[in-house]
Amino acid sequence: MMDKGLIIMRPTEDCNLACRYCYSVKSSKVLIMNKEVLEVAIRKILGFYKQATFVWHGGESTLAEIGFFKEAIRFQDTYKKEGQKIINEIQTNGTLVDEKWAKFFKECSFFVGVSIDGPQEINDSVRIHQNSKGAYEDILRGINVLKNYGVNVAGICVLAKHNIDCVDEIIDFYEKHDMPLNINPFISSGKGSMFSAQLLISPEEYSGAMIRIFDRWFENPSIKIYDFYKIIKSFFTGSNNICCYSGKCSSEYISVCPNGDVYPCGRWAGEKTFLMGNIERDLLEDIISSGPAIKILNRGKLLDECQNCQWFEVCNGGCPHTAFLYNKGDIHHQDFYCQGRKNLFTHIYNKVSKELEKSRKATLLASLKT
Amino acid sequence: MKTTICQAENISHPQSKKREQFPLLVLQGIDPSVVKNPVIKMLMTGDAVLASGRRCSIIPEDEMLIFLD
Repeated sequence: MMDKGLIIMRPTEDCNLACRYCYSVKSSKVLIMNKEVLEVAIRKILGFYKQATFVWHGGESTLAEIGFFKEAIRFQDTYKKEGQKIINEIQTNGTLVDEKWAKFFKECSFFVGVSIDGPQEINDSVRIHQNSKGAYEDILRGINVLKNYGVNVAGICVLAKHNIDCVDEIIDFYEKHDMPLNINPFISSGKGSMFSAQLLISPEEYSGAMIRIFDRWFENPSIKIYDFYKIIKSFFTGSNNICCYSGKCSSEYISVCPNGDVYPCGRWAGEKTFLMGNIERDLLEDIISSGPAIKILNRGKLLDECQNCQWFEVCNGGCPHTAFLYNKGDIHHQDFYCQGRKNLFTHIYNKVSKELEKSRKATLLASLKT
Repeated sequence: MKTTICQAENISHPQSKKREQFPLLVLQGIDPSVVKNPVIKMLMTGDAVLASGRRCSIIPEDEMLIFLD
């Protein structure tokens, strides 16, 4: 058994929204994962990982209906080993969340991530319904229902051209709604690639915005920002469990599509050259030692550009899928945002080091006084 | 239940690890009671009072969550 696994479950690849930057593609004709695939997936996953985090993702995962998730919990209870830790996290656009969902998430201790890009004007320029109407009001209604039920809810914000110059407004928004925040840069993939010219930011724009957010947060944090906590932590431990930096996608991180196909993560769904196997047909042991899996796991060793980089241990060359996208299908290159991440890591490292030194001096002074 | 960086990774003596890349940061030599920066405080004690007045705790699940777009 492997120690821990994070499984991105895609109950459906369908979505009720038409966000301009969406990378998700339909990997097969199966609209909703059937119960047989769901049961086999849960049985095999719980038989393979000592600790399992199920990240229910999509498409819009709530389109799979609440009964699907009740079955998932039932299967988890059936196949759970003694002492095994299971975490459920769902990522949703929030627009279909009502009291019934909120009650279920609370009862089953789900962590819920809701995508919202900041205030209405910013959000509605990209996160839209099929009829092009902005989704802000429906998303916020969903968030408020979740919060009323005491559900652990965090926001997910995509940084792209539409909001790159509005980071203060984004933080103000998250502070106002008292919500933890996660920030992902735009990836030009799937439908998002059609809007690349309007949305793509440069690595330097990415680091500029992130550094601005970090500086504000570091002096006066009012909300939890997961990315910063994990980056800082990596400077103490020498490893990073943000999936893009872990170097372990395709073993500790995998994704299961509605038809049972397994890919290194949801971003790869439908990219047949990186299809690792099928959860119904194949053993998980074979899936994570398949050709595509090994290719991704070995990528770090083969990145010439990264061998002398001081940040390699906490980034592992970044996201292989992003390298694949921006280098004509060749994963043996850096992540597109490499320079941005270097700038960000350097800034955070220096800032934290300085603060630690200040605290060490204060400790010494205090001890001299006593 | 909350956890600190040191508890989470069992790195009571991180400086003993040899590496060629950036030097690992360590919390040794710092008394949490004199730390003013809330982020450093949170790293050391597992929680802190945020500017909003609410407590922010690092919980074990934080380690295992990811948030994809």
